[in-house]
Amino acid sequence: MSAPARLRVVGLGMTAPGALRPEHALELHGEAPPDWFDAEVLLPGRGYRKLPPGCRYLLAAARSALADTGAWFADLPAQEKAAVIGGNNAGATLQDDFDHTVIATGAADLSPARVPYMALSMFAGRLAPEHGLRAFSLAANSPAVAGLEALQTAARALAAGRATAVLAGAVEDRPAQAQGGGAAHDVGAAVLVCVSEGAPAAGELVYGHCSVRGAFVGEAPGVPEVSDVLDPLWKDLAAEGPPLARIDAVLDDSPAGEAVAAWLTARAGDRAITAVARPPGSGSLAPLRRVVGRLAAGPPERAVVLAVSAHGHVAMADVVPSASGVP
Amino acid sequence: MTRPDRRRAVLTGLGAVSCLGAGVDAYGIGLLAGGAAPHDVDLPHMNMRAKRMYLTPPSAIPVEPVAHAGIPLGPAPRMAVAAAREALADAGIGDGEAARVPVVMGVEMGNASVQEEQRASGGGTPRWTPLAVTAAVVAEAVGSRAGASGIGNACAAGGYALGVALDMIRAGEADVVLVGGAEGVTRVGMAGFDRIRVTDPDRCRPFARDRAGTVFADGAAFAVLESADHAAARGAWPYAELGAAVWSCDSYHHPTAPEPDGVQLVRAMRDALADAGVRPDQVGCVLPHATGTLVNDAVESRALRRVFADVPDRPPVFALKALIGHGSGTAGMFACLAGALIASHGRIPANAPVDQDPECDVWLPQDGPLALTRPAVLVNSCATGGINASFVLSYAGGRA
Repeated sequence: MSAPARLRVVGLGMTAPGALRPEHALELHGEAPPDWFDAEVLLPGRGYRKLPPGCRYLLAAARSALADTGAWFADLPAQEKAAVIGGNNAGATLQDDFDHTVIATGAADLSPARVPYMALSMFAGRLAPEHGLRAFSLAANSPAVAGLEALQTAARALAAGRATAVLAGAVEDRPAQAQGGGAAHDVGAAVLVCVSEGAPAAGELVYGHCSVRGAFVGEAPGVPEVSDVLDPLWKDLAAEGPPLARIDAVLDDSPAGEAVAAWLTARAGDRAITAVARPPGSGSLAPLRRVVGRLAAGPPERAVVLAVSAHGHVAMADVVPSASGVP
Repeated sequence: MTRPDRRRAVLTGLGAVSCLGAGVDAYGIGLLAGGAAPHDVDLPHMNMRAKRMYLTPPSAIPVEPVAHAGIPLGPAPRMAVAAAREALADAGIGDGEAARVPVVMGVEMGNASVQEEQRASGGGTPRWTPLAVTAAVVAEAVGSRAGASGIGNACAAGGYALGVALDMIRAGEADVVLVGGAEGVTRVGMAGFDRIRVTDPDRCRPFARDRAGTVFADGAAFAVLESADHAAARGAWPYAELGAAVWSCDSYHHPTAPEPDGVQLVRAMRDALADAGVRPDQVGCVLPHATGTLVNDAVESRALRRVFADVPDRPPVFALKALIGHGSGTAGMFACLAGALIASHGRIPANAPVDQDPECDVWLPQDGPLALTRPAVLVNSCATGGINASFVLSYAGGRA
């Protein structure tokens, strides 16, 4: 099979508690304070107040990312601009509140303005009129890996000529009570402005390059089975390009997470591993934060960001920061 | 109608669980027989105006798998597994051969019924239950190890899932992709659309003068998409070629209304035909998105008029949702299956009888099945938020 398509990242935006700039994306914080999102600073303007919180985080992250591109992105024809956004829980609380309202009093008491946001696609879709995107708008929703899958899907779509530039990212908000998930969860949004690897230079700033591979290891694999699935991907990944220096692994304590962790320990060699432990269901933003952080703040060394879901999804991002692109 | 410069993709297996019963045969026969009727949803707390859906018969809903990674599974993932297995078997891809086949699914509400049961029963905090677990459930069941992706593009999810699968085939990333959709009955989903008055309490009647909104449906629909060379090498007969799956976005300021002029929908259709190498006069049937909502059907009708403005004999339109309802995240895949059957067998089912709205000026044959007289079928798959997908299915040699 062919190698995955590669992206060039020309803009970064990060909006999360304690990480309001891309260079802070690697810093993890605990429970989000209630006033962490200052809309007057992060999303000034009219027409945003009634949007769900996650939608505002995403709009703020996209605005920040596009500030990196100057007028270049704005001047592209609308039908060459697109969005791919991943998420698991962005609309979860809304759905939970809605269902409780239906049970208690009926559908007539739902907020019609917020009804469309039951669908994750509306979060990505809200970016379209905001930034004049007419190529497409796509939402990825696989547990834990949707943020990395957004990059993978964007790379494929760019390689296929579906757009010239894609806003790829993830958005999350706290899970609903009915979902469980505990207190530790992703909140916020990250957006990467992406162009095709082979496209002409889009501006002066290039943060780096990225590609994503996906696999499925099952809900309860053993380490040998994980090896059967991931070894070929690992071999392909290591076969070319600069030396792989770092591995960031976003894992949970599920059987799938533990099996992949054991596999990774055996394969990492002397590379530095940063293990980010997350409870199942905490969202798809944490892995993308690692990508953003490696591009914006890490040393200019090649890194792999790996994410696993309790359900068996695996995504592996190959991140090559530009030596000279860090602002 | 082929482009020799890139990998072609064909549909070699189909699977369905729908209001017409279990299996793609029941689906195809049911469409030719006039489709199904909606029924009241038997859930607690249906406190809303429009309470009907086109429901899968309980006997067609599998009882397994009951759980995945420790979370209980509702009917939608279970139907997905049945339809996916049928599609693989139909394609002749046996047990043990699916490890290299990625799963791509259009899923929005997915496993929502489990959450809703917990809310209705006042149950405590459970283990986390994601909505979009369905692709993983399918991958586990069929033995895929090549990836499981969920695409939540609401009612256009099927068209987008097909586009992602086509990109994977064309790029050489995969030889075979299992692509599908599955949605169940959700109280909160029905209530939301009821609140914004886009659901019809009676039945789904696209293009009718008295249409009053859509009526949702549950079910699962899957297809095996395969590179034409790979299919030929193993002697698999295709139902149809997927010549293109093109996307566009209205970028319109209203969150639930389409762009009134349908400019981006027109662009998606024209670009899809161009990408497939199909002229408008080679289209023998159109499966529109056609939900039965007042504005959308009128906008889509105008868009179709523009795309086929230069064709002397405009193609017949088959309004699928009048027969099986609106499958939301799986609607595009149900349309894909119908289009593949039409392209393969050369018969277009009759439309449900309606008093046609003159504002919806499309050719809507209602007097029995028609023969497909031109080789291509154009399908639209659209969603709230101005999300559009158009894809083209073409006769590819026929199927026994």
